[in-house]
Amino acid sequence: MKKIVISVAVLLICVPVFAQDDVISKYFSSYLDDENFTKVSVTSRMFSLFTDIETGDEDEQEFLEAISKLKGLKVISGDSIEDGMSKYKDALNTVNGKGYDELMSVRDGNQNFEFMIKEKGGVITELLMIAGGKDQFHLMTLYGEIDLKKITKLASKMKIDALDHLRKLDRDDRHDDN
Amino acid sequence: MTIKMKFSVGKLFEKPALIFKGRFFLGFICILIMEAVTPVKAQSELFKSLQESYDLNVELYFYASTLRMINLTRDPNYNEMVKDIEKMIFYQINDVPINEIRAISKKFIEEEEFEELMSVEGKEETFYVLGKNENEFVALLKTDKDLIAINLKGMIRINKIPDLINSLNADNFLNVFEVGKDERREHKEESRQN
Repeated sequence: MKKIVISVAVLLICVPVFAQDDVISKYFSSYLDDENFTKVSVTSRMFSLFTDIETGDEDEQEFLEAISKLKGLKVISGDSIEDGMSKYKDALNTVNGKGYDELMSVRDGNQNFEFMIKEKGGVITELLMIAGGKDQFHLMTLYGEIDLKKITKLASKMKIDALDHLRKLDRDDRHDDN
Repeated sequence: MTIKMKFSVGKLFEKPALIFKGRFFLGFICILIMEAVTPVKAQSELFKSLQESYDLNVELYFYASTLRMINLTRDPNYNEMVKDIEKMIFYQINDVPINEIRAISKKFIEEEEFEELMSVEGKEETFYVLGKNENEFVALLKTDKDLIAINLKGMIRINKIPDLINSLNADNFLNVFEVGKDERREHKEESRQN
């Protein structure tokens, strides 16, 4: 048992590629005590519990495999706030130049969505979503080993509506294949 | 038997498919009440201390056997889901402020080496899920009025926990929240007087 604990600790120290960006961590901390926002945090420990689950259903097994490779999910969400758009712009400025590549921008009614990723060695290690509108602001970061093709399935199972926009990527991908 | 308990049982008899199982109900109920007043050993001390610190509305203790018993329609999926649960303690606690719930969650991490698995803090819902050694879980869930605290020992397929919670409220399961409610209240009052 002790050996396992030491191995896990060494692994965690040696694999910082999946660690959440410091800038984003600080951003989340700054909203921690703000009662106008809902804060969600899912830790790597939670995702790891999905690792050993076996199911007869192929779809569910695929979902469980994808989820077990994740290391964390954090969300801050406010839908009746003041200055949603300025918070959105402020968040975009904060992450600008911090190694995120733009994946997709969506203008949906009065809301703007920005999807960004971090990639290392051909593996997507973080998916960041910043969304803002007149009275809304949402920030979500999903980190670990992320398979974008499975992310929409994952999003619908985890009931993250905003990630529905990523379905567009799936369609574009199929279009490219043809 | 109190009127309230008869009503609960009567409600179940309304379902024709369940009538033939009626003879077993009293047995189920007796066992459930016995379980409800018999504290579980070898579980989180901090969790148990909640009953001393707060006024409990409902206090339920389940074992593998009692979890199977409430499955009146013998749904095989449910039995599969709960087969590795050794014990589950359920407290419904009268209004607890959110900052106290956060403090309780921190105490589990600091004093009993639990790890946070998941947390949601919001205007409408607040809950924390904590785990220890892959075979013990604590969930603290703030509802409109109360705090629901669950301590689960054993293994459960983590993706099936919402199903388990839904099952406890479904019509095809014995309504454990009603069964023995009055007896539990009497027992609590007796304990207080002593």
